[in-house]
Amino acid sequence: MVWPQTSLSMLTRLRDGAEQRCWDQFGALYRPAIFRFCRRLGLQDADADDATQRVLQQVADAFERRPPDLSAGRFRSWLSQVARHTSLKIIQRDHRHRGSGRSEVLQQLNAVAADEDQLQAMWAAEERVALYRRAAAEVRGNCTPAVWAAFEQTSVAGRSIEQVATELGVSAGVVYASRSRVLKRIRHLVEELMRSDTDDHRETV
Amino acid sequence: MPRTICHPSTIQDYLNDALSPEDEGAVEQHLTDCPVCRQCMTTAAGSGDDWTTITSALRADELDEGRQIVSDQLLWPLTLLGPTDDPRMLGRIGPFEVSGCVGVGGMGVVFKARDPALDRFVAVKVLSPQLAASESARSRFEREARAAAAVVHDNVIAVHQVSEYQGLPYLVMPYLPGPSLEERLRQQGPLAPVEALRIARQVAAGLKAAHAQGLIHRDIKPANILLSGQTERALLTDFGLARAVDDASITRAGALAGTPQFMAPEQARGETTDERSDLFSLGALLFTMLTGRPPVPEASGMETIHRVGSEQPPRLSVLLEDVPRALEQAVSALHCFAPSQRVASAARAESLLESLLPTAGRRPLQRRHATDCAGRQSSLPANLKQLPVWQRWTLIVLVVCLCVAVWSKTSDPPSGHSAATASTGARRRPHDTPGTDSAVTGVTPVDIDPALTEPDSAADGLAARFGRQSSDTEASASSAPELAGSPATEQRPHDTTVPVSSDESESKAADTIKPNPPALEDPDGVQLDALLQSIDRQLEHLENR
Repeated sequence: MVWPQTSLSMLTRLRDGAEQRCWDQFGALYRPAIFRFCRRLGLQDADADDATQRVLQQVADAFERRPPDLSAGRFRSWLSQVARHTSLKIIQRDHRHRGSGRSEVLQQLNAVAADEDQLQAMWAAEERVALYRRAAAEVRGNCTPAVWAAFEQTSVAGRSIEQVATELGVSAGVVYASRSRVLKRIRHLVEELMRSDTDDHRETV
Repeated sequence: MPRTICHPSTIQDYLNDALSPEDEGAVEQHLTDCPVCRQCMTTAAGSGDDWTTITSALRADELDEGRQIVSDQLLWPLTLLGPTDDPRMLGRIGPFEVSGCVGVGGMGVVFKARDPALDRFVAVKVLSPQLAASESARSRFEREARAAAAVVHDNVIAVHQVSEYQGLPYLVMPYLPGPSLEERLRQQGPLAPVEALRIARQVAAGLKAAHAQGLIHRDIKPANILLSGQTERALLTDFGLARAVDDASITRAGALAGTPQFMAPEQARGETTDERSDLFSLGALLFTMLTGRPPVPEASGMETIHRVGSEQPPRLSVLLEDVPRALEQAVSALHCFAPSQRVASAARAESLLESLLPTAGRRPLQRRHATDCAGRQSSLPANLKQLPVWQRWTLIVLVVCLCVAVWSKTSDPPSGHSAATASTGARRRPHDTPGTDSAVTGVTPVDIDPALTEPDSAADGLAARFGRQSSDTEASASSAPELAGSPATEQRPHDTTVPVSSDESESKAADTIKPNPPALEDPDGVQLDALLQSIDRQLEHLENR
C-alpha cells in the first residue's frame, strides 16, 4: 500500500515551493477536518463552509509569505488557532449584521476557545477522523465495490452478515473475509501515516 | 503445495495477501462454516478497539450534514482497466484479471492481478498515462524493461512479460507480499550492521548481474528493494523506470517523480552516469539502513537535488556512536562524492561488503545526541535566506556572540585544534553557503582518505554542544517570523519550550525509539536557554517594527 504522501512531508513540500498536486492533497485531508472543527465550534453548515475556505486561504497565504515552522505540534496548534479566530470573526460579523440571536453562540465560542488544551484536543480528534476517512477512501479505491460494501454495510451500517451476503450474492464467508481485509488495510494505512509523522517529528523535536 | 486452511497462520496470510487465488477462495468458503476461523479473522484484522475506532470514524454524525463520508474520488487507476466478466475482479489488463491496486506512484500504478494461465498472482506495473504520452519515455520504458527481463539473478526481480494495453506499456512481475526495505525501516528503525550488510551485499550482487548486461538502475532506494519472506532475500525492482521519467521531461518541470535523496552527485547535476552512480546510491542505502534516515533530509525536489549535487555526503560517525572503522570506510568508499574515488565495480562492492559480514555487529548502532539536531540544522540556510539582509546579519552576530559565550563557559577547555575548527565554523556561517553545515558541528567534510576516518573525540564532544546551539537558535529564529501576526502569537511562552506532541501515541513512539531526548540538562543549558529567549525576544521585536 502506498499512501500518496505523509502529511508532514506534504507540508514540507508545500513550504518549499508548492505544487498544485500537494495543495490538492492538503485540501483533501484538511478541508473536511477544518469543516467539522468549525461546526464543533458552533458554526452552521454554510458558515462552516465559508470558514473552511478562509482558513485554507490563510494557510496558503502563510505558506507563500514565509515558510512556517513545521516542528511537532506547532503547525497543528497554529492551524487550530487560525480556525478558531476565523470562526469567531464569522460569528461576530453575523452578530453585527443580523442583530441578536448569536450572542449565546459567541459566548460559547469564547468559552471553548479560551481553553487551549481543549481546543487542541478537539482539533486532534477531527484530524484523526479525517485521517481515517481519507485512508478509507484510498482503500475503497483499491478494492472491488462488493468487497467495500461487505465492510461498510456490515460494520459501519451495522447490518447482518447473512443479509448483506444474500444481497451481494456471495457466501457469508466472503463477507467475513472481505470486511476484515478492508479493516486491516485501513488500519495499516493509518498506522503507516502516523508512524511517518512521528518519524518526521522525531527529527524536528 | 496443499495448505491447511483451518489455521491461524492461513488467516494471517490471507490478510497479508500472501495466498494463491485458489487458497483465497478456499479460506472464504471455509469461513462460512467455521466460527473459530471467523473470530480469528476478525481479531487478526484489528483489535476490538480498532473495529470501534475505525467504524465510528466512518459513521456520519450531526457534523457531517449529509456529506459524503468516504470519498469515491480516488478510483482513477481503475479507469486504466478494461472490463471483466468476473464480478470478483476490478477489471483486466490484457489477459490479467486485476483484483486490487497495490500502489500508485509517480511512474505508474501497480496492480495485483491473477495470471489465468498459471493461476497465480502477479504484479502488473502500468506506466502512468502522463509518462506514456511521451514517445521517448514509452520506448525507453519498454526497451529497459526488456533488458531487465534478460537479467536473471536471485536478487533481481524477474520480469515475466513486457507488453502494452490500450496504448499503455506494462510489465508483469511476480507478486511479492513482503515489505519493501522502506517499510521495514519505517517499522523497525535502523538495522543492525549484520542485517544491513546482508541486504547491501545482495543489492550489490543484483547490480553486478545487471551491470554485466550494461543495465544501470539509476534509482536505487529503499522503496525499490523488496524483502522476501523469512529467508530475507533482497530483490531489486524498477530497472530503467527512472530513465523513462527523465525522458518525459517531468523532472524539468520541477515535479519530481521520485526522491533524489539517493542519487549520485553526478546524476543530480545531470551529467553522465555509469555503474558507479548505482554504487553511490548503494552507499546511501547502506547509510540509511544503519542510521534509519537518508543522508539528505527530505526537502523540495530542487533543493534536494542541489544539495546532493554539491555537498559532501555525511560520515556515519557524525550520526552514530562507536562506528567500526572498517564499516565507516566501506560506506564512505561507496558513498563517495567523486566517482573516480568510489568503489569501481559492483563486484568489488559485493566482496567488500561480504568481507565485513563475519565481524558485523548484531545490534543497531547507537545514535549520537547531536544527531537530532542535524535535520533542523540543515534547514538553517533556507530559513536564513527568508529573512531580510539586515535581520540576517543581526541574527548572525547574535549566534556568534552566543557561541563565544558558551565556549568561554565550558568548564573543560577544548583542545586548540577543535576550538579552531568550531570557531571557523561560526565565522563561516555569514557566507551562508550550503555545504558549510557540517563545519558548524566542528566536523570537517571528509573524502575517503582512511587516515581521516579516525573519529576525533574532542572535536566530536564540542560538536555535540555546538550542534545543539545552532539548531536551537534556528528553532527560535524560525518561530518568530512564522507566528508573528497570527493568532498563535499568544502562546509564546509555550513555544519556547521543546514542542510537546499532543498525540499520546506519537509521544509514546518517540519515547521508545529515541532513548535520549535532547534536553537542556547541563548547567550551561540553563544559560543557553536564557540567551535563546533573549534572541527570540529581539527577533520578535525586529518583526514587529
